[in-house]
Amino acid sequence: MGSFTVFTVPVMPYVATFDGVEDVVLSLVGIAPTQNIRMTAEKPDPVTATYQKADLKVVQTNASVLGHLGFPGVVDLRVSTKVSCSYMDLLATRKVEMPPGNDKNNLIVGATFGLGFRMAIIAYDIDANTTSSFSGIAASAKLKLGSTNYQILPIGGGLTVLEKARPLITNLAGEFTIETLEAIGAVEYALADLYINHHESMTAELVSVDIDIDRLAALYSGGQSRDYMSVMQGQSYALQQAYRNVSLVEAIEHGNAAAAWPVPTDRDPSPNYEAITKDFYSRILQLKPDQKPAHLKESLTNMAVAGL
Amino acid sequence: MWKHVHVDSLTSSKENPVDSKKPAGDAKDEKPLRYGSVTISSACMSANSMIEIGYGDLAKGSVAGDVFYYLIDVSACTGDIRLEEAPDRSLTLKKMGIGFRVAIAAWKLDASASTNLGTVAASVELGAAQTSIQATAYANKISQLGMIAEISKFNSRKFDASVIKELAEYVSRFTTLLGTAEKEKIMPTPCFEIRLHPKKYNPQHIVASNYFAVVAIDNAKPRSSLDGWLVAKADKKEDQWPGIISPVVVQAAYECFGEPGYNQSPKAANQKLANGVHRLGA
Repeated sequence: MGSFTVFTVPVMPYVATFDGVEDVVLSLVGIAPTQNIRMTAEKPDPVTATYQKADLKVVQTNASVLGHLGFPGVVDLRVSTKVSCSYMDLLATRKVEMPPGNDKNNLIVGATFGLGFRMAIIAYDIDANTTSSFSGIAASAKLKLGSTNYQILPIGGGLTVLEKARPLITNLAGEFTIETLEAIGAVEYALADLYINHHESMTAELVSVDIDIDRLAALYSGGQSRDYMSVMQGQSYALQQAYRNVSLVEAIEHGNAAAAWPVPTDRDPSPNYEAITKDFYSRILQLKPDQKPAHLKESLTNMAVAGL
Repeated sequence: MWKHVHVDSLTSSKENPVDSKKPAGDAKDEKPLRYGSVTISSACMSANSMIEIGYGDLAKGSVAGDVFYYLIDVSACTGDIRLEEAPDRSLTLKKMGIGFRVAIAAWKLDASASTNLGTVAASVELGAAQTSIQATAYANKISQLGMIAEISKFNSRKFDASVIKELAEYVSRFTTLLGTAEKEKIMPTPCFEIRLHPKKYNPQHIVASNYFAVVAIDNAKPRSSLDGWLVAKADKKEDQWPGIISPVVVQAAYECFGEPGYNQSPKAANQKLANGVHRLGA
């Protein structure tokens, strides 16, 4: 869509050798092979790097993502099934570029390091629109609408950070109230000076990576397309055909029939649905061109579950 | 088999045979002791996660009715993180540091009062809820950190408002203590573990995730609808889906359709676009 080529994924700071590959971003394991998710950029130099204050904004998400970011708690559905999860980065950040020799198959094309805190809020029985802002959540708490639980995850910074963050930290009860909101303001103010002007003794940690969507498309289509929308379209087509026990040869015949393949657009002047379909059948289903997929019913049912 | 890999969280790691009995800081390199990585968390926990981190006794106590679990975890760790990979591909990240943990179990507690420790304590004050506390200190030489050992005094207490207040004061004193830990060269000890369950890359899971997004946008559902969908599946005892539908891939798909928000329903034009994608070949 337009100039969208990169999207940003918040991650845990852990980068390690995994499955024999160095520098793997552990949060991303599962969305790509390990050699495609390597963080090879240098961390910011503690003395010379400069940091910018990140905007305080609420990012709405779910419990699973909070778990991926390293928040240890859980969402308890015994309390209520109406739960909303959000987090905010109270951070000073610095973007880093990948080194010049960055493998062109590496999905990661940039990264952000930060000093500060990530704060998660779990709100029960509070409307999702209200939880899109911290003032909304605090106001709900004041009115005793629903209930909340917040957690803090320090990111980088070292021991001096603890001092500045005392008001937030010692509130172990974890209910997000107006007082919490005020404490955030006070801590933000104290941290800004520390992180931006006195960070020589601090170690920034990785907080997010930028993923190249075109490279992601190429990976997911076995190299047949660099347009994510085309990949979704082609594979949606192929999946539905295979689900109906249609072989690759037949699926392509159906596709070539009038009005079945979409015309080229500005977005993708040469959508390659035929190649994407062939890749789906041969690489993902491991079928020969004239083979019927009937014996793969279970796998196909799993892939098509959303539409069933 | 178990693989021990020494990890620096920010640079590439080299495989080192790790002697887990050797305390960090005893190494031949003269790196100054740096307690850079701090954890302070107060969280609601599931019974399974309590068992995973070693509180099986607390979790399996013979109590009738619903039990709720909480963990207060305060630690400062060095950069020395050890990664262990188990045969089932789960990873345990072990950190070295100093700190303490307070685990709390509460029962005879209304679910609505269970969301945070403040309301739990209030229920205890009212005489309704009952609790059990297990507190542990992590320190190489307890004597060096006398105040950390004091944490055990919480063990026989019930979790009421005065305990919260005392714990908060304790955390406050602990942070002051940590400030001197580097100067006083207080040595770290294994203190903190994170268990990760990285999924194996499976192209079929990616297809399922993208297709989920296409169908959801076609039905004008926001990205957050994945949560409700997973809950509905879990209610039918289908627990495998969180390991299959990837929120990161769903995010990529939604952003590609021009929908970066989490709770916002897709715009009509984008819904139409998804409809076109979905109906191809239908």
